[in-house]
Amino acid sequence: MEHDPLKSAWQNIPTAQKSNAELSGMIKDRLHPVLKRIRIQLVLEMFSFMVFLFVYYDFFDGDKKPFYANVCLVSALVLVILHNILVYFFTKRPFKEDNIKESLQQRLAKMKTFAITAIAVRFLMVACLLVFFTSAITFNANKYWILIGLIIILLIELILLSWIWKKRIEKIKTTINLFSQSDIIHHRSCAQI
Amino acid sequence: MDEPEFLALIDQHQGIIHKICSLYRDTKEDREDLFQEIVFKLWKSAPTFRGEAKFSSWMYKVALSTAITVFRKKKPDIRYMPELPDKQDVQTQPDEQREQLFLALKQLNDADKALITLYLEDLSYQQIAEIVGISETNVGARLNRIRSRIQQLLKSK
Repeated sequence: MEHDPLKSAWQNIPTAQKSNAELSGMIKDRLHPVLKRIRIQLVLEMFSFMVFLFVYYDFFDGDKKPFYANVCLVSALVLVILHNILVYFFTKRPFKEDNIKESLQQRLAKMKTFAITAIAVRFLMVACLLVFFTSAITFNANKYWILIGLIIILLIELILLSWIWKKRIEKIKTTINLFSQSDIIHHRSCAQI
Repeated sequence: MDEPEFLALIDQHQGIIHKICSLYRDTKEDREDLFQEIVFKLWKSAPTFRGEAKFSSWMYKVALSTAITVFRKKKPDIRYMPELPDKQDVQTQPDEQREQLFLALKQLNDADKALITLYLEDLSYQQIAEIVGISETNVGARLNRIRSRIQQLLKSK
């Protein structure tokens, strides 16, 4: 091994040691913090869905709403649950690629699809709920203003969500470009020779 | 690969996972989260390990890919202490040289952090090129730049 003080300093860095029991706990799906949170969320959503179905006719006048409004409501609830299932599998996805650059490229492609899905689901869910709750309302000027206010809040939320995803995607894109940079320059100079 | 075999290999190589976590995350909580995520991803990806390459090479690939792609939680690192830290604890005082090296390495971008980690782990340019997926010439050129930058950063401290 060549003598490099940086290498020696790096290799002499003391590190903490996890016990076998701790390591074993880290590979269990049921103990993974993100997966655990999604599972709890799914159970809560299913439970809320059931409770909602029980009080649907009495509290929300479900029988008086038009058919399309009911379809919208069911779609909104199903979309939320499907989206969480998607997040669950996305989190569990293994790395199958041959190298880091390929892994990042694959991850980037998946993340783009995932971002579009996440934003579309949020939009559709709120839009469906709005359609359901406004379907039997006779609108006047005040109610229109409230509706406009709600739509503005929804749009701001969607813009913020898009911005978060854009930042995440940009970060990975930049890293891929940084890995590729010198190779592109090298190929160009070879082509010129 | 069965679970006991996997855990024995992780136990053997956990030092490098800790170092990657320290390099890519600033707070203790974030580092713990990343450590768990890396071990979890390694386990999930274990069926793809064909044994053609060394376990450590495969582990570097998964660990670094995870560190770059997993997002940290946006939470401020607020810790409430029972008393003011008026005395310095000699036992927990980090080694100055180590601290300076980490401070310099942390200033690099994510791509350069991955390359220098593999270099510091004593891998050859060819091995680094295979793990990262870039040419050997690129590895050499970039590592020269990174090393000069680190030396400059260390001198300026």
